[in-house]
Amino acid sequence: MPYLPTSQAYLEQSALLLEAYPETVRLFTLQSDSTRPTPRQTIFTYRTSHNIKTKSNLTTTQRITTKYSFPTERPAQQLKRKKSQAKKEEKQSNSTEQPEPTAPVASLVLKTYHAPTGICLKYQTNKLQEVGRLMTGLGKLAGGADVASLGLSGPGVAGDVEMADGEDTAGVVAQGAGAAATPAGGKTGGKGKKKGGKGKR
Amino acid sequence: MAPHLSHEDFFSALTTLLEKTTGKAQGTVLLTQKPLPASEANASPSVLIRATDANSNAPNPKSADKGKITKDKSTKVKIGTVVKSEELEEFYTRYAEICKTRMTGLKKRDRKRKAKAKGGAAKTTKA
Repeated sequence: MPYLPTSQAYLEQSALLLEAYPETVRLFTLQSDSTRPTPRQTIFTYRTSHNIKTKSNLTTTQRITTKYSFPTERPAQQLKRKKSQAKKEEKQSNSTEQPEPTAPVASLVLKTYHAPTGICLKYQTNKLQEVGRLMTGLGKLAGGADVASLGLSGPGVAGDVEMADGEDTAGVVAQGAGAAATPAGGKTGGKGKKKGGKGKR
Repeated sequence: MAPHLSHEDFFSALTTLLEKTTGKAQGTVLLTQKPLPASEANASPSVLIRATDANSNAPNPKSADKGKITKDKSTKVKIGTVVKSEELEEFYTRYAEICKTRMTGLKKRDRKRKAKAKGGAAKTTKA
């Protein structure tokens, strides 16, 4: 399965997937329900129908997995890393900074999987600074957020345009754009986000 | 499957799990979230959050012929909690915070250039 290029794209696509297959539609298997003559049949039903006894794990919901893992190192790789660390320490011993102990860099893989269709969206990163934004994004997805509210809160291209608009007209638009940001001081919030975007590129 | 934990217990267990993995610089933490089907008991949609250390309980097929398991697989960590829709925001704020602070095995942002550019500000924080 292909990896998506940016975290923003990943979150957006996940939101679109959620939209395309709303979570309220679930596959239920009837198990000897008294109101129905046939003991077993598979139907589509909505969340609101409470009289149906559900006894199946065939829920057609999307699952999001976040995998935080360290790479497994072969002994040779371990040796190499230790050597390079020793070199670094030697280099830094005359400078004031204390050398940081190097460890293999962990990776974070996010995967959205929609079982019935087999759709799988992935995103991989190793940047710590992205974790907070990603997890907040996942929270919004869990709450059933739509693409609009996700797209505006991130530092994507569309977001930047919105921010620029917000600065011109001030106030209302900027506040609307910063769905996740604090409502007060929309102007400064927009500027801060813009800065972050520049630094990354 | 062990019963679901309260949010507090889940967070503390998750913190230890992440710290342990980062400390060893080895291993995996798997976090899963999926919507729970609404039942008669809970009408509002809730989300099931799970965390494991991806330590499989299955014996290693390679060592099966020798009749022994190479690693102790009995210590699998498996925690889960259910978050109701009204608690989602609060939960995720803390969840994100914990992930941000404990997943230190990831690459940190290179602040060196910034600190040099700022100069004075960086020095005052150091002193």
